[in-house]
Amino acid sequence: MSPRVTFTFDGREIEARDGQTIAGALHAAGVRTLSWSSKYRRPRGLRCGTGACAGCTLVVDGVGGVAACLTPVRGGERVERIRPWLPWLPADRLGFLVPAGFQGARWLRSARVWRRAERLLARLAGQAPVPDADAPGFAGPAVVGERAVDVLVIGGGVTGLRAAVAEARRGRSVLVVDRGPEPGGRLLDQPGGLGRARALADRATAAGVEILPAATGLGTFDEGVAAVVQGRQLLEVRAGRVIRATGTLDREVSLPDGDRPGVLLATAVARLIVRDGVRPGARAIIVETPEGVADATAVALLLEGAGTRLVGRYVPADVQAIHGRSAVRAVTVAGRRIRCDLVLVAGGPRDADELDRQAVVPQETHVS
Amino acid sequence: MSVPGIARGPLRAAYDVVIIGAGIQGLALAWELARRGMRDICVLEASYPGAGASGRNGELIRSAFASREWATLFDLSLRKWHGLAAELDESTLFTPAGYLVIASTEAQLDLCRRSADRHRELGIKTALVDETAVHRLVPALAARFAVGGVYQPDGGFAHHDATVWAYVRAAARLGVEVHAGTTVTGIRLEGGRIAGVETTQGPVSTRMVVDAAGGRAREVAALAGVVVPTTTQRLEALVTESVRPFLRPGVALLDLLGYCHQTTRGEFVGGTERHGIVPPDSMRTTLAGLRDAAAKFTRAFPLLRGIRVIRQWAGIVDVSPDLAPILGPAPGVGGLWLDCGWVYGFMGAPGAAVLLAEAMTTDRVPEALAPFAMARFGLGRPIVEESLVVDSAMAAGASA
Repeated sequence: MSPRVTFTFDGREIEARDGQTIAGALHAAGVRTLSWSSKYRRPRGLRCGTGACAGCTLVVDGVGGVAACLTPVRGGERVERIRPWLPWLPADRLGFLVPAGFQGARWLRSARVWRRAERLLARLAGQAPVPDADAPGFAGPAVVGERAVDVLVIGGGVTGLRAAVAEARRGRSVLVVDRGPEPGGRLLDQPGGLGRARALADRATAAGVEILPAATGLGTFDEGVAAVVQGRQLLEVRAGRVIRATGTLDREVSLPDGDRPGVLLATAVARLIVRDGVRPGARAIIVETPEGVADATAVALLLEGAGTRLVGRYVPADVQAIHGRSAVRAVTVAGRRIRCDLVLVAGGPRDADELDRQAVVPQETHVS
Repeated sequence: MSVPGIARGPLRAAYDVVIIGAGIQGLALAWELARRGMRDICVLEASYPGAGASGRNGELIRSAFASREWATLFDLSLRKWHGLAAELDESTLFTPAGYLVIASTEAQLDLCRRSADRHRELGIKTALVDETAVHRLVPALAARFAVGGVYQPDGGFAHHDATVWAYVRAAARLGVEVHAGTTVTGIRLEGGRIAGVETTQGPVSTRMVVDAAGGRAREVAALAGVVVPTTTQRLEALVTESVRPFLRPGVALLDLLGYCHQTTRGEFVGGTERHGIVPPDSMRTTLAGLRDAAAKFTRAFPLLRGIRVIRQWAGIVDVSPDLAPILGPAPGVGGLWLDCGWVYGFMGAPGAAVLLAEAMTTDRVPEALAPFAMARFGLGRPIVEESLVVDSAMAAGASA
């Protein structure tokens, strides 16, 4: 049994196992709503499990914008949700007052009315508190570091680590940066994968590779530098070559009310089970596209092992309604209402190609 | 895919006027011309509406300039901005939140004092404000950052994309054809007059062409053999995540060569001037630009230390030797009009469009427009405007 630690969530004490992510510990504690959408304050929660969406964005020790799904519990931290102004206001049901995009044709005929409306809308929209710059999370100054390496690898999954080892064995200095708390990428979603990930990372380290966890590659710039952010540090890396090995993310699937807390992408479900040791739900349905069948099948096996009852597999066109506001309660598929507390969406993988799009420097290479 | 306001059909064989560039200049002019009864107006856009500087700018709006020429043009524009959403029946998200120029040194305060004196002479409502008043208007400003400033209460900011598309849709309702993805490859002249344009979608006959091509205006004018004395410069800005309102007016910080505001939906938008990092026509952003802006704005607004940047952009401006726009008929080519050389183009567009539309439909150049003619450079009569927030590199690049 791993040691237990605690943290506070909106003032309430939550227990976590050492190594669990904040999102995992909160899920285990039954917390589903972690944020509200900015305009219509629709409840949102853990969704992608990869830091690619804003669903589980929380404030930790006064620092906003923290992806709870990527952040391990340390113990003792103060975790808060970003509460919107008038959180009870069902703005999504007042669409006639707040049309899509605030374009506000209704208000603009009178400059005076618009001026007042605009101030009101500003309060409704800008929901995140301005962070307290003296908060404990901001201890110490922001620093800028500079590094020069032969090869920078962005993404510490299997592909990135293997590429790093190969480069290091040719005598090159190699730096690997990875967003997650530890390298391994997709290995960490598989039972027993943690051991393999650590073995691979050890091999890389032994070959002379430096691995920087919890570090995000922001992009490569025309001045010939790559930017990496790790906590309060900006690292400017001058690299002879940049290898982007950012792997894949789950493809989103559009469903009616598909943003409800409890509608999770396949990777998020796998990580809850494998990394956090959490049963993701009592009754689950799977919604899969043809591209997502393989992921859905793999996660279905994990669900079975975790004690979640699978009550149906459907394609997106079958889904007529998702019920429940702050947590999924049921789904209507093909005219039938099915009780469930988890909807697993498997849209299949897509390339995490954001950095490829940002950078168009020809000498660089992308390996999946 | 059909986009409201964008022409779906092919180009016609002939138009009364062809406007090159669907940025805010070209679109505002098209709308003003159509309102005055002109028909068969076509706007040609190589990319999409607002793809250039119109969608990549600081969004600030003021008329508090220190020269008669600038103040007159931009005050006309500011008055248009206040009623523009109602006139277009489309939202521009214009916010009359005020515009504050902040001085951090005695020398900068002197500049503000001189500006305020000029505003009084020119009839523009501004106030010279002291340190206390600056910090009251902008409570988030770092302690002792300001020694004073000049404040224009009816200035403000709008949303650039909202405004561009407001003009697109309003113009389309009046019959204007906006053709996106159509590049002008040649301008046909007959006897020293405009006869038509060649495009990637085929030739078009017209007797009147407006060069409103923003950062590409020089190249477009060259197609008609006209040399426009501008240079291309790039500007960068950043946008942060959305937070609760902490900054009401639009702000220019003389000490930082920076300008910024907070949008209605809570994002902080700001840019600083920095040149010579990458080629001036690149619309790609730089890490140096990001670091420069981040360092300066967190110095001015310490609370930004905890707020993340979510976007960065670079845009290009078409800078004339005196940094003032070039507006009016092109010398030597009948039927060619210039609407280019803009650095403060977003805020100036609604007013400039009124004046140019008047000139084009009446053949009489309005008094407010006349000083912006290209002939001023040949005559050695540049417009002297002292209250621009640009750095010396841009000014030097412009006059080089």
